[in-house]
Parts: sequence; C-alpha cells; structure tokens
Amino acid sequence: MILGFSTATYTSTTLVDEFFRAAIDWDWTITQAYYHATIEAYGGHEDTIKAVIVADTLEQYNNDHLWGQGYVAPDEYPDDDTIWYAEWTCSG
Amino acid sequence: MYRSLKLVFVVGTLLIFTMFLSHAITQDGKIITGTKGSFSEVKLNVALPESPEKLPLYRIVDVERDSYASKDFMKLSGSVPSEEESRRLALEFLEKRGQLPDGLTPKVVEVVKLREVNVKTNDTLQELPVAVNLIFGKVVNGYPVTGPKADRIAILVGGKGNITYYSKLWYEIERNNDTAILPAENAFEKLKRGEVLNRMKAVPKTLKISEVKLGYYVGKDQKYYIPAWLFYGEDEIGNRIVLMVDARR
Repeated sequence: MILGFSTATYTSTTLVDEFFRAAIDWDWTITQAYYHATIEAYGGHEDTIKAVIVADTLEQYNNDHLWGQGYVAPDEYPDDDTIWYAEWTCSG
Repeated sequence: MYRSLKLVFVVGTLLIFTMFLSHAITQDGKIITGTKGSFSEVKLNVALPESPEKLPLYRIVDVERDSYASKDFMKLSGSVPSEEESRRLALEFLEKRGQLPDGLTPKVVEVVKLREVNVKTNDTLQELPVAVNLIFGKVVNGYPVTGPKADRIAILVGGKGNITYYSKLWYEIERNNDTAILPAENAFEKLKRGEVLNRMKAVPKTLKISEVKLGYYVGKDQKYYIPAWLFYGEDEIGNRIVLMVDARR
C-alpha cells in the first residue's frame, strides 16, 4: 500500500504519532489509521490538503493491518494491472 | 513474512518522507518541489483590507476531546447519503450527543470514492462510494480559527446514513485583553520575506493571493488564540493555500 498526498502539505509529527497509535495501540486497519492521522494532523487548517491511499487489491484496502496487529491480505497473483485509489480532503 | 516487511517498509518510508520533506506528488506523477517556505514571486490580485486598530485575544481555558469510530469506517458499505443529507445527519448526531458547539462552520463536505484504475491505460474501471467526509471549523466573532491545533470536528457518514467516525477538538475560550493589530500592508511585506506562522516546505514558486482577511491562529501548546492575517492563494494545480502572518504589532 502507498500512503501519501495529492496536494502540498505541512510537516507534522502528529501525522506519524497518530498513525502508529491507531495502527498499533488500537489495531485499526492501515486505511483507517491513515484517515484518522490525516484528520488529526491537518483538520484545523484552511488550506486544501488531500490525502491518498493506493492498494493493489480491494481486500488489502479494506483489511490490511500492520504485521502482528491483525489480518494481512495476500499478495495479488497473477497481477491484474489494476489498483484501488482513494482520496479525501483532510483540511479545507 | 516478506510481504509484511515490505508493507512496514513502504508505510514507514512514506510517513518519514511526508514528515521531513512534505513534497506533494500530483496524480500525473509530477513532484512539486519547494523553496524552504519562501516564494520566488508573490502576486497580490486583491486590494488589501483596512486593519482594525485592535482585536481581542482569547485565552484557552479548557480543551474538549470527543470521538467515536465503528469497526467498519472507511470500508465499502453500499450507497451513501447525499452531501446535504449527510450534513443534516452529522448535525443531528452532534446535537443528540450534546456536542453541537457555538461558532461551528462547515469547511468540507464530499463523497469519498474508491476507484479501481487500470495502471496501463489509466482508465477508471469502477468508482464506489465509501463515505461522506465532513469537516467543520470554528468562527469567533466572524473570524475563522485555523492552524495545526485549531478547533475542528470531523465526521464520516457511511452506508445507511450511519455515523462511522467522529473526532472533535474544541476549546473553551474567554475574552482577554485587546491587542494592537499590524496593518495588512506590513503583514504582506512579512509574507514576502517568508515570515509566516505556517511554514509549508513544498511551496509553489509563484503564489497568487486572491483574498486577505483576519483570523485567529492556534498552534501547538498555545494558551491563546493569536490574531493572524490570512492570505488565501492557489498553487499551480488550483489547490487552496492559506499563509498566515502574526497580526500583533
């Protein structure tokens, strides 16, 4: 999975802290932890900041956890040349 | 095992990359590089507003946190309500929870969609709604409150209109002394020198300012709302950038 942004953004230690807190302490999926972290880090800003998550399969998008924190979906085989892309505004 | 290591590596690398560099990658793969928070050119496309002599400072007397998350938030859950219906459901949820504060103002309402994309043709094969994403901010006496630790409420409305995620950060404030305000012209000069409260590392080379107004800034560990001049502009791909200059003399 790839976690990133489609706009310019700010440096934020909150982003990292909240991501790992949700993914490890609360066992949230990577998608859920990343959404939560982007809101915690940038929700108070007025700029348009958009976060992006890319997964190879729908099962990975819905269910992947960090290793040891829950279910991890298998690698896709054979490759079907498609990805799953979600984008949301985390400040505006 | 290999897959899990790869996953941790990718997540870790990207988060560290974001934390230290904050360079944005557009959907067409272009990397927007910054110039350490200063601009090659700042264009003012709007008249600067008149400055009030003074504005009140507000002291933060209490912090209110409240949150809720269902097991399935951000997962596919069928059709989602319209943006307008979601706004109504969100406000109803806050009211029932006794968490509908004064000064609440809508900032974001959008349907978050999950797209299946063919990476060879770049065609979207299907587009499925995940949730309606709502973010509310705060206004004090007509002035927006903004910054990394500013008041905000985020809500996700999922399938069947269920509230699947909610996070609130809100401050109880009390009016303090008035403070003298810097004229907008002086603040604009500070902006051109890169003297801003929010230093975005990946800034566009040219920034076109289309709106200037006063607001309040809330950063980490602040005990007061700080009056700030807010300069609204757009980057090269049309996203809003708001730069803030301390408005205190």
